[in-house]
Amino acid sequence: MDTRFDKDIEAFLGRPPTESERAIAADQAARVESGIFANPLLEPPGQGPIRLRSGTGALVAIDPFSAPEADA
Amino acid sequence: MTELATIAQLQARLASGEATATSLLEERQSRITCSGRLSPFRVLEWGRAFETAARLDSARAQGTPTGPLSGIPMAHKDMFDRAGSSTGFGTHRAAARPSKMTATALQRLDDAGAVDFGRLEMSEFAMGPTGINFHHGMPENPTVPGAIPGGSSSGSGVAVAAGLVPAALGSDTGGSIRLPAACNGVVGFKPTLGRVSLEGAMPLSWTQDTVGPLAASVDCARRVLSALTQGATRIEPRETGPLRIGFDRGAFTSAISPAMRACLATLRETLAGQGHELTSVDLAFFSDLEEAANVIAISEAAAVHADRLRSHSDSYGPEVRTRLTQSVAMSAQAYLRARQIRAAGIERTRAEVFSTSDLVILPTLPDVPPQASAFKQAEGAELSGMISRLTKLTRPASILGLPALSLPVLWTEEGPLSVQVIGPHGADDLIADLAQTLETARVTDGTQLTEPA
Repeated sequence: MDTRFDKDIEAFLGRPPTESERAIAADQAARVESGIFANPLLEPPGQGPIRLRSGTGALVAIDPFSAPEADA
Repeated sequence: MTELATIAQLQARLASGEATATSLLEERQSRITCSGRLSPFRVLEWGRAFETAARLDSARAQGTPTGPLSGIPMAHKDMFDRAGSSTGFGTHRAAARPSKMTATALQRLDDAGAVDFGRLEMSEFAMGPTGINFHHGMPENPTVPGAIPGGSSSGSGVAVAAGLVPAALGSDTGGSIRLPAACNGVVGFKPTLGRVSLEGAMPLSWTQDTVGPLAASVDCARRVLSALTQGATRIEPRETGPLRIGFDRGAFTSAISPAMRACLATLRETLAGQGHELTSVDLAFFSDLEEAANVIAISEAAAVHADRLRSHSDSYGPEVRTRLTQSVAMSAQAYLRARQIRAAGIERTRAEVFSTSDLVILPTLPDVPPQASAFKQAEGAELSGMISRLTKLTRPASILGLPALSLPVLWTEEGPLSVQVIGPHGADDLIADLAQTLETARVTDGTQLTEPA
């Protein structure tokens, strides 16, 4: 656990965290990594950078070298 | 055992002169103030209730219209503001605060003539699906001895199941209407996100919060929802004609019990017998919404509680404080990614689920309501896992903002088995139409309850 993380918890609670609170926050951080940043629902179909689609905010894949109709 | 009194039955008694709004309140008062099981009420507000009842009785005697819920006794989850009353939020009693205004949901029920006589217990700040409250204990489940009442609208489920009220308001952010409904064997109706005003209701996670009724029957739930929406939803059922009704192909519901599996098979036979077309849908991607729902709920709840937590951290129960502390591990990036996952889930549900099915049926719980002792003995990762399993089947409709109605469809010796009827945005009426064809009779033992301290 890094010092910054400890300071964040302390700022949030207004006091130093207990061992249990620190452990649960660390466990949550690991789950966020797998459940959010590697989520299958956001896997873009194809290679290339991703961008936000207006309206829904959903991620879609684009190939910057593809023809305009391929991106439609 | 007697059947739960419905709004229609109470209205019939009022219309015939057999009962008055005042006498219906007196019936409830006599049951609640006798010694017996732990009450689901935090506060009883008889003074205001009897004044309201007397006014309604007088209007009825004079032939003045008094609204579609006139004289119907109700009580609600203790998270709605009412001018001149104190809201408790299920937390430490010292944190209860007086309100200057009345929540829109309560005002609409008042306008419809309902008689609100009390505030019902709930999980602390509506966080927690078991109904076990660190500060107040746990209202006793009148349907399944020893089982959790479910949360967070625990008192609402218990009060309806005990026959004290034909309906009570709850709120649902991850299953908090449907879970206590299933645990107590009553109906719980989470409307489409945004259908019912949240003004004056305690916020938890604004992306997912909904307000709706727990009720003795689908008809009762419809009457309350119609009052809440000022007639935007129907009370009278309509013939649906043949519908396409989807069931999960297996991956998302793989952990349900053999009893629930058999229940679903029976339900499919019933629906097919009614002329509906059964469809098989792949809901495996619903599992990918679980962590996103959690991140959104905890991040938004932490934003709601940030100031108070810093100044009153020790007034929170340890479980709620720990859950809120999880937010420290959630960056702005994680929250925004969770919102994108939600958007992708909404799009995929529209394209893959509701393109082939008009409605979907899922179990509400994986089995009959679980025993409270199991939750009280567990801790750490084991407890987290048990809670995740409890909410796994209700979370998708919450994060997707979909309307969902839970109702018991089979009664076993171990307790009721309930399912959710889920539809696309705005399909509240269609859901209720189908649910009304699947209802089974609900009974109560008329238990007497202890007045709250």
